Amino acid sequence: MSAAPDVLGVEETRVRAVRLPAGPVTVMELGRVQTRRILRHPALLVSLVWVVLGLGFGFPDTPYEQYSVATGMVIFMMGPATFFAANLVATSGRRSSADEWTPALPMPALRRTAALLVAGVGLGAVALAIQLLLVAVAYDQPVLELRWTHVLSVPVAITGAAVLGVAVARLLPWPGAPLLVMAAITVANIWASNNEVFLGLYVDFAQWTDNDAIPGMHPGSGAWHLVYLAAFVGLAAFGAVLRDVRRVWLPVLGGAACGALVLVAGALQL
Amino acid sequence: MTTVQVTEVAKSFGRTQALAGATFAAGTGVTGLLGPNGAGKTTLLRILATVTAPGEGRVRLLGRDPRDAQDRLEIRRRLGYLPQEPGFHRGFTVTEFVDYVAILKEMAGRAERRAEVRRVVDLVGLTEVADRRIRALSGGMRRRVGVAQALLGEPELVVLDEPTAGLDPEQRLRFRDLLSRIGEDRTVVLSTHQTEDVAALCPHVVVLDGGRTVFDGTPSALTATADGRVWLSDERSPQARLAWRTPDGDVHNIGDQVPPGARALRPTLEDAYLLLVGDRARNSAGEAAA
Repeated sequence: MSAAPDVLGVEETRVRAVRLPAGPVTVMELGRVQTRRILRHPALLVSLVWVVLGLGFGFPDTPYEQYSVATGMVIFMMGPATFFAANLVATSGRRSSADEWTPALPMPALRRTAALLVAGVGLGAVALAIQLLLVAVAYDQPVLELRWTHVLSVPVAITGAAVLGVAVARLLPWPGAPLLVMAAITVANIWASNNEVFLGLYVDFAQWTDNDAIPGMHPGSGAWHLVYLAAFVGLAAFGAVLRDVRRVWLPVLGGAACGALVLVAGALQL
Repeated sequence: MTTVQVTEVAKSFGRTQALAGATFAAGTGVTGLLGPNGAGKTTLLRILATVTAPGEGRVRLLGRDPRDAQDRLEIRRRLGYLPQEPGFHRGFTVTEFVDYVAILKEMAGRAERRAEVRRVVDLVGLTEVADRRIRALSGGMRRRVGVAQALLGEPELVVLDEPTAGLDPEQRLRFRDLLSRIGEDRTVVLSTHQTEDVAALCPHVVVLDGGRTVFDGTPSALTATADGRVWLSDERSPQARLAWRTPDGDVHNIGDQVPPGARALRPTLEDAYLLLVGDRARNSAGEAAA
């Protein structure tokens, strides 16, 4: 222990060694807590009930419809709910005024945001589990081949919804911003589905199969679509941490790389 | 050993000057911060908690400079802070919330962390409602949840903004017991409007008024400033600045000096505080009029 007189003439001492930080472990722990918070959010619970109810009405019989439901239902029902739930959890500190005092806690803002991004991956894992269950229980026709890239695009899209919700919370911290973003995404998807069907967030994978289930359709690349979606997730993730880092150029550079990948993969998936 | 050192600290929010040269030092033990509303107590405690930076002046906490990012991080690892109005994520249960804060305090080991959470929840007497959601708790219980999170990890510096607000008498006494034990080997700085808490707990008291330190010393020294200025009478004395009828029917007067023939009283800390703050208010009014 070192001691030195201070300006008031009182002995000032540096006391005890500090605990070692355990950054990655605490990020994962906080990510686990945030995953649970998002999963418990009423918006997401309603969407899960909706999935169950949707299945209760029966699974479609035709190969094309069955394929579409098996690959798209989770995205359409869980996606928007995940986006809003993640946004609400990410903004809960601001809305409850907890942000007025939690800066006094040592975990840096970057790690707190990283934990929310980890929660996005956790939600993707939940979506994958639901997706696999859905396929195992209800997908029983051999006509359209279900590929792993098709199945994986569902958790990636759900992770993207959560990450985008966090990014909107960090970059556009105003009431109504998530609604505007969701409206913009919806409009963009409607435009894409009418003009360039392979550029939306959900693409009808049945059109990609190469077994002539739908004659005249030229299948695109499921793998490149997966990269295209993952690049979107990366873009949102770099946006989410933009306000938490001192070297802003790092996420800007990462975001630019992801943006370029979106364009390349978007073209190659066609 | 000085763990808190505040030197001529000023802080403004727009045109409002919250602090205008606060100075004090605190070491191991409980330091009570008294002052009227708007005196700058909460701003000062937010500075001590590293939530906000001083506009001017110098602050040293635990031997470190909070302006430096690395030092600030080290301070935060050894600090416990209860804000005046802690915002809670109300969907959490008590245990979940304290555990959440424990993670933000970088407590990585799950088993160790949970044991620590149980310890602090028990310390504030909330074990029976540990699984209840925060939204279902009374204001006093929520206050105790806030205190519990501030005590996580046995911080060396504990900063508490009105910790006894909303607590029932029994809880206040329990809290005094808890704080006095913490203050035996750590530094506690608390703000309060309850002079009896300060009299019972704090070997060191700082009075803020108008953003400045107007008293810094022991409670007995503060009380001594009111010697010969408190008296009892049958009716309100015209010389009294403040007077109130006691349950015994006498009138308790505090003023500049005991009038001849009046029954002089031994002053309390509250009398001294009221006189000090009242003097300041009167002098300020006089200066403004001049």
